[in-house]
Amino acid sequence: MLEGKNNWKAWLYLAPALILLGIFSFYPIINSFIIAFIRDYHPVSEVFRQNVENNQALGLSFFTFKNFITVFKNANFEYAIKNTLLIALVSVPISVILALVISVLLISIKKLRGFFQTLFFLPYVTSAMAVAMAFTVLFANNGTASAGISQGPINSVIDSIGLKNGLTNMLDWMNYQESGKESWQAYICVDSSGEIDEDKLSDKYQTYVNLQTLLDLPIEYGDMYAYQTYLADQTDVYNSYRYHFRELGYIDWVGAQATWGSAILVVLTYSIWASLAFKILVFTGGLTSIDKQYYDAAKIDGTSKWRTFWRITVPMMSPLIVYILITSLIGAFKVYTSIVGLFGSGMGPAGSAGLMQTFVGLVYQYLNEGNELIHVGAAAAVILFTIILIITALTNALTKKRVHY
Amino acid sequence: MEITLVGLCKYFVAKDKTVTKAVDNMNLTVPSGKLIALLGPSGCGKSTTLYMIAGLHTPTHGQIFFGDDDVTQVPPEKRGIGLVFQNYALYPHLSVRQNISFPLENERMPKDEINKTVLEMAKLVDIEPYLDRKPNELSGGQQQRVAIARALAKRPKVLLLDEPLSNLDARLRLQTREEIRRIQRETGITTIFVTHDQEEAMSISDEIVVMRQGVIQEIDKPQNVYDNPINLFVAMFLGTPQINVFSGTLHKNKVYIGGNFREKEVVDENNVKSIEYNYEGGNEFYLTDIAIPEGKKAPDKPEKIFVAIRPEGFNAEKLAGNENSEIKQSKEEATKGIIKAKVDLVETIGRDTTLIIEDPTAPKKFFKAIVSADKKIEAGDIVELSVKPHKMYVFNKEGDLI
Ligand SMILES: Nc1ncnc2c1ncn2[C@@H]1O[C@H](COP(=O)(O)OP(=O)(O)OP(=O)(O)O)[C@@H](O)[C@H]1O
Ligand SMILES: [Mg+2]
Repeated sequence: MLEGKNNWKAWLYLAPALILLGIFSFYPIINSFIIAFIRDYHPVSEVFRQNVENNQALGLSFFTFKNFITVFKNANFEYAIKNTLLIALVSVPISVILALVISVLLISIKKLRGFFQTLFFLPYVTSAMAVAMAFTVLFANNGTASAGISQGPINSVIDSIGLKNGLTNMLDWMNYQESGKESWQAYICVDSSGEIDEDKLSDKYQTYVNLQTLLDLPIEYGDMYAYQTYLADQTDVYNSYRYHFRELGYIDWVGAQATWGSAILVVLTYSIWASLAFKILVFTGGLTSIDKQYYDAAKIDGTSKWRTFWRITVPMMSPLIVYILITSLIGAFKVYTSIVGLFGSGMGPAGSAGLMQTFVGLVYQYLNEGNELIHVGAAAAVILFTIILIITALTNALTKKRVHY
Repeated sequence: MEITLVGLCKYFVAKDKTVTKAVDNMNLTVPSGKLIALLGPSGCGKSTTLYMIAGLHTPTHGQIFFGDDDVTQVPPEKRGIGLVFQNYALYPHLSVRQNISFPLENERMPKDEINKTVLEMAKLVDIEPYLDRKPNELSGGQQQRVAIARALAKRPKVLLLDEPLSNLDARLRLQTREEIRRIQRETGITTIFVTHDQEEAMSISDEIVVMRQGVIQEIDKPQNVYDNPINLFVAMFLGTPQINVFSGTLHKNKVYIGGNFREKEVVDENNVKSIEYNYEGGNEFYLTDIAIPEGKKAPDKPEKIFVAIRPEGFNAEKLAGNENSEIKQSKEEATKGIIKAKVDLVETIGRDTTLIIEDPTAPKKFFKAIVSADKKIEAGDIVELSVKPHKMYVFNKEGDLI
């Protein structure tokens, strides 16, 4: 009935939505693609338009790739790419798997199911900023351990389950991977007055220094006592590089001394946790719609829980899983708010702004610099669009064979 | 494998604490190698019984024995059963082959042995050409057979079928039920078949268990259940067209349909008062003498009863006359159990004709009689009916056989 002569009615009903979408979505999208290729575009003074009007003969002279080059040359471009990709490609798969497991467990319990469902759904209805602020409190590092100041909950837990050293080493490794700088480390044992105290050669009083970068010393990793002696003799060296010493025991996750490794771990944790809620909501809905008879049949055939999950639950949920995977990937590529929430608009720990830069952050950065760089922002957005397009297409292609509609 | 149910009960307690007795005090022995049908209307607890035998439901009371073993607390996978679900529950994302091999893979059977078994099963249920299709690429009947193959693949000791034919069309249903019968005979596997279709139950099973609201009504061979229904419910549940039920009166071993009795006080010569009951008939009739079984006393007082007559329990003869002729029934005829009535409608299906006849004792009420099509009876004819005695059953007000 909507076909044929009544067609105009359908268009009429769609008109409000179409007009709004046109003004606020389609036009800006097309426009940003155009702007991205325009030299020195200035939206207010309309330099570009004047140029065109005055230089008809110049033809395509306003067309340029320069904007893209500018983006690539941004000091934090590498961070933006690295962080965005890492967040998308690590946190999304983990959170999908985690959400699926939690949903299956949720469905299988009878008592308190509603309670837990609500609990898991709470992050969804909480402001991202509020969650991020809560995270900064959780991950707080309130100074040195020797001073006996109480730590943030995460650090306290890490301390009490004895993960301090392991985590610190892992972060060192991550930072090494990230910066590519050889991080020769030596552990020395110094008490607060700068004296070596062998009795206190325990976790709590260990400090470490990246000797290569600080002291430029040709020392082998693990040659501990040599440095101890060396440093003990040179209290002034220790003091002058005091800033670079940090307590092994407590990690500064989001504070001024946070490193790339610690910061990205917090961001990943945040992304996974905050995105669980919606996924669990969708998955539990999908799970309850699977006919119970399949599980009865599997039970009678003596199928193990593990096999039931992989051979029945996952294939039956596969359309939903792929849907969630793709929408979450796209969402993750647009990561921005959470970084601002965790680190402020500097997009990084206080000491090193831009360390947690993301792609959308980059776009905003150009937009925030007044009208001068709007075209560069547009170019950054086009790059992001292309990356998302490629990743989505890849995901689609990879999952196609495994999805059972 | 003989299956024995002893005092089996399943009560469901709803949120508002109301109790549903889905199965109540069920005692049943399924002989080894036999096919028995659980028959009853929707909601009478057939599936619940089946699921308890399968181990998917835990009984509220009672025990289940497989042979001499009490399996009441044994988990489903250890019971050695195959279950075919009402809507098959074939895994939609797996091919027919994968569906059939699924239970075998659970047992960690070697690959080549799995392949062998799958082929064997496919041959048994005749689905070899479809092994690499997905379930949604099969017809209902084919899916049905795949489900049976999957259930049989791990060589269960007991096969449980939950209304396996309810999703099929009439022809396929007929075909598949013969197939099930054949497979059951070939494998000799003890089978319980749940259905609400009495014809299906009658045609397929060695024994029928008729259930009603969680309680077994009658257990017997199909023909025996049909011929000797223990109560009105069983009589009405078995047979198509349904048995005709008239309300009537029983007095002094005679059954009356229509009319009523008048009480009269009489005083005999010894001045003893007694009550006499006089039948006041008109167009009414009484049918026949019935033998009251030994040990039961025929009531002195006329007793309200139900008379049930199978449609094939009538002899019908066409009488001269037309639509407008008055039906005249003499008292003499009535006492011989002869009914004259007008045929309202006729349905001829091949060799039989179903007559829909207006009940002469109750206008606008109709009953059905099946007679040979050769009689050439047409709508509007007046017919003279007599009743075959063994096709008539008399039940008391509670519906129990007298
Ligand atoms: N899980 C349950 N909780 C509560 N009541 C139930 C449950 N399962 C079944 N019942 C009730 O138990 C009774 C028997 O159900 P059952 O499924 O055994 O019927 P059935 O004979 O198989 O019927 P059908 O022919 O419609 O499949 C019904 O009244 C039903 O409402
Ligand atoms: Mg049922």
